[in-house]
Amino acid sequence: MFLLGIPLVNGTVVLFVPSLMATVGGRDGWMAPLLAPLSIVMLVALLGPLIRRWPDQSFIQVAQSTLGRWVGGLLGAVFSVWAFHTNAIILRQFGDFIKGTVLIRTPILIVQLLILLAVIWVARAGLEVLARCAAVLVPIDALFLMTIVVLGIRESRFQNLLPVLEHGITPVLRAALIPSAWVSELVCLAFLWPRLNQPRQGPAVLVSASIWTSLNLAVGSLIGIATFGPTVAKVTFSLFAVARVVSIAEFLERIEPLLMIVWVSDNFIKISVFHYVATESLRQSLGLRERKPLVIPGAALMLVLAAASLDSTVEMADWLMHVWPLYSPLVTFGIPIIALCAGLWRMASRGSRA
Amino acid sequence: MVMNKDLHTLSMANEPWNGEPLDTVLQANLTRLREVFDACPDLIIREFLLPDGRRGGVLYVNGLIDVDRLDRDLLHPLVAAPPRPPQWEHGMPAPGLPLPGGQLLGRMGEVVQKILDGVVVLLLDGETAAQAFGIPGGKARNITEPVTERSLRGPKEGFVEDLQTNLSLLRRIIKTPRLKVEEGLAGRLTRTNIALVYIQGLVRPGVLDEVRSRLGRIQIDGVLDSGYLEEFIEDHPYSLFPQILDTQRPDVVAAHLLEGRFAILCAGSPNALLAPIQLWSFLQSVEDYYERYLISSLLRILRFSFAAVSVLLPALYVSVIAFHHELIPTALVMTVARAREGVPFPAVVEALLMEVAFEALREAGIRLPASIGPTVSIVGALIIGEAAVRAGIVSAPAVIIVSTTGIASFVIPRIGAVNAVRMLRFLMLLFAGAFGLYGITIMSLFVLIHLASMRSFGAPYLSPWTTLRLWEWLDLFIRAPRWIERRRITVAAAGGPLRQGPHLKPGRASDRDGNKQD
Repeated sequence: MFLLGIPLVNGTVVLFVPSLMATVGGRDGWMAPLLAPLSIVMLVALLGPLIRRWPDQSFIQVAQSTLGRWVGGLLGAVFSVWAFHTNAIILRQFGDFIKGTVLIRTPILIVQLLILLAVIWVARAGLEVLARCAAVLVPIDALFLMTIVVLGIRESRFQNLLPVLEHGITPVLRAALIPSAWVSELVCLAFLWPRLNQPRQGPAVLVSASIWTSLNLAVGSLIGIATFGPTVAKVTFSLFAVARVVSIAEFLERIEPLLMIVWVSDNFIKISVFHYVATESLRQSLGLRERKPLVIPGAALMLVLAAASLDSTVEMADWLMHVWPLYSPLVTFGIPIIALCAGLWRMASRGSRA
Repeated sequence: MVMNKDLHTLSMANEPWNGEPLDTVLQANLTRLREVFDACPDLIIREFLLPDGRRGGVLYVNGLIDVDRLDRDLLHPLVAAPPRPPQWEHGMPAPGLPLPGGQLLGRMGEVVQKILDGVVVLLLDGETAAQAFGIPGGKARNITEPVTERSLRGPKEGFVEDLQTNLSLLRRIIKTPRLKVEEGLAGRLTRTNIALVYIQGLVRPGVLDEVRSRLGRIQIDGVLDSGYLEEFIEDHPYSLFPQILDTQRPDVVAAHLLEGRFAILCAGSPNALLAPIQLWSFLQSVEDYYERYLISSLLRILRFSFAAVSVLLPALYVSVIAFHHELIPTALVMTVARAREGVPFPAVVEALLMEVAFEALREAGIRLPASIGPTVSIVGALIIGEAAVRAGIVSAPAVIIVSTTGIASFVIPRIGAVNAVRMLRFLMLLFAGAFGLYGITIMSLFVLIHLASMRSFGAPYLSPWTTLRLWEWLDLFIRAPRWIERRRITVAAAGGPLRQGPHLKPGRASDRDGNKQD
């Protein structure tokens, strides 16, 4: 019954992050996300057999049962470290955003601590509660976002989009790598498949979530480019900036608090999902019985990682553009692929023995 | 442990006389009962002589029975009857008594119990059993419209303190043998009658087992109102939010029973408890269902928005003043800034002061006699408020915000939800004062997590929103026309999927048949 809410959400979550694409793709950057679901479709094609064969196990558990405790556990640990690391980066982005836009004089640590409190609470309450929260937040967020986009249309000049495909398709393809990396975070959802009430629907849910996400992303960057022209590459949070210039009837001067609310709640869900995945995969790879004792230390670890891993926003942008698109898919695709190969190999060898 | 033991000795089951059998000699029984009821002048013992020369006695508590009927229907026929000994065996004391047959009581404990329950007990010389006759009487409040839940349209009946009357009010609305009533006792000394009411086949059996076991666990001295029970059976004792709906209207209880919930009625209390309940029920009024659906839906939306206003407005004011001037139009900023010029407090303190003052005024107003209530509100709100603004202690915008918030909270129809909102408002205010809009968002997330993890007797508290049963949204923020809502609300209920027939939408007969002829 529960959990069907999550996928959609996690989708919207990813949405705001990069106007980075514009740097690579220029004015055609908005097309890049439309290609991103391809990577998920590939992933689903890979994971589909796994879920059909082992509907009640995550791919880490599959890897463990096929490759043995140690190798499988190692893979799980790598995945878990990736999840923790990614989460720390998200937390860092989140803190930078809040500090940079609304709470300029508040220490970033306090900002992060507050949201982590919520995350810890929901992580201890369990996946079902998280799914329910998501079910409440998603429609609200979608409504707010639509408001912003619709109001933003007034400010945008669609001539900015012309000429389309000036430099051919190559920059678009290169730019598409970036959203692909983000969208591939959705692999976390694949991790949650076994907890769905109908695990077999997992692949379909994942694909639709990724398409939804990409559409959001495309619309978001479209409106950003249309409003600011090619300079959008210089605006770190483009949609936020769009919200900033909206002015309706001399009364609704600034609607960016709406966006901040969307951002905070989306990030809350996102960090929580990641935290869940990180602690749960750690639990599985260590073979522990309880997940709860990992929640608070994990959160503390993230807080430290978020502060220590990167020095500045500039460095982060650089990292996100150059390292991330390679690092993340390596883990998100690599581990399921290994699990799949191991699973197939095991199935094949068993088949030949039988 | 000591307290537990103490409680134990006070309960009737442990009194030394509880298990004693009755004596055949009337005087021995009466003496024993006089000892038990020592210093209870409201126990009346009337002795009389039967025509056959035996002695008899009736015992009852003054004011609980109808004395005229006792004389006319019991004592007079007994005393005047032809000299034929009453026959105990068939439960008929004597032929010709115009009273329903009484129950036989063999032990002292039962006799004492019956007397206290407001029943007349008849003892006769030479008999080892007493007999109980229900001749209820005494004073009771009339059925009136409940003051706290008025409605313009719809029934005007309200529950009273008498349990049997309340049950009969329900039975008058729902005429099916599937309306079940399970009776029980709570409170060792008050021995309060409570009744668990539900419609068999609609309520989920698991829920019933759960509530039975929760009610069975209660061990206290006294139950004076259903509120006592509520605290023992709710799921989340530390929550700000009410998890059980209380109402004084039989029609509300009936409506919820028909949606598969159960009700708990408690003798001595006009408040019935309803569960499992969802958050939204506290924002829905009975009248939504009696008025036409358009205005009901609009009013519901109004109520939901004002509930939000009532939680968030002071917090938003504080965060805008203290953190985000840029969010409101420049002209407005100037006006507010001018008004706040010279106010010695930061916005948080100002808002907190005013909110506390408002709560104090409200509390003072509730218990005052109607004659001086208005005086307090005039002195409090108008004179002090005006003077405080003039003196520059608080700003006029703060007063406006606080009074708007106050009005907004009165829009919420249920007092339980109003109280939750009142407490929540202060939490929001503190977070807004510390972290601005971000604080409000985080606080809202906290509240959301809390609400999402709550259940009322197994049913998710935020259902049907969080359970994604979209058709049930038809009766959530709006009230869809009745002829659309065919499907049964399944949060609490078992039973078939449909609750009404097809094609109920008013219109031409040809449309209803589905074969349109143009």
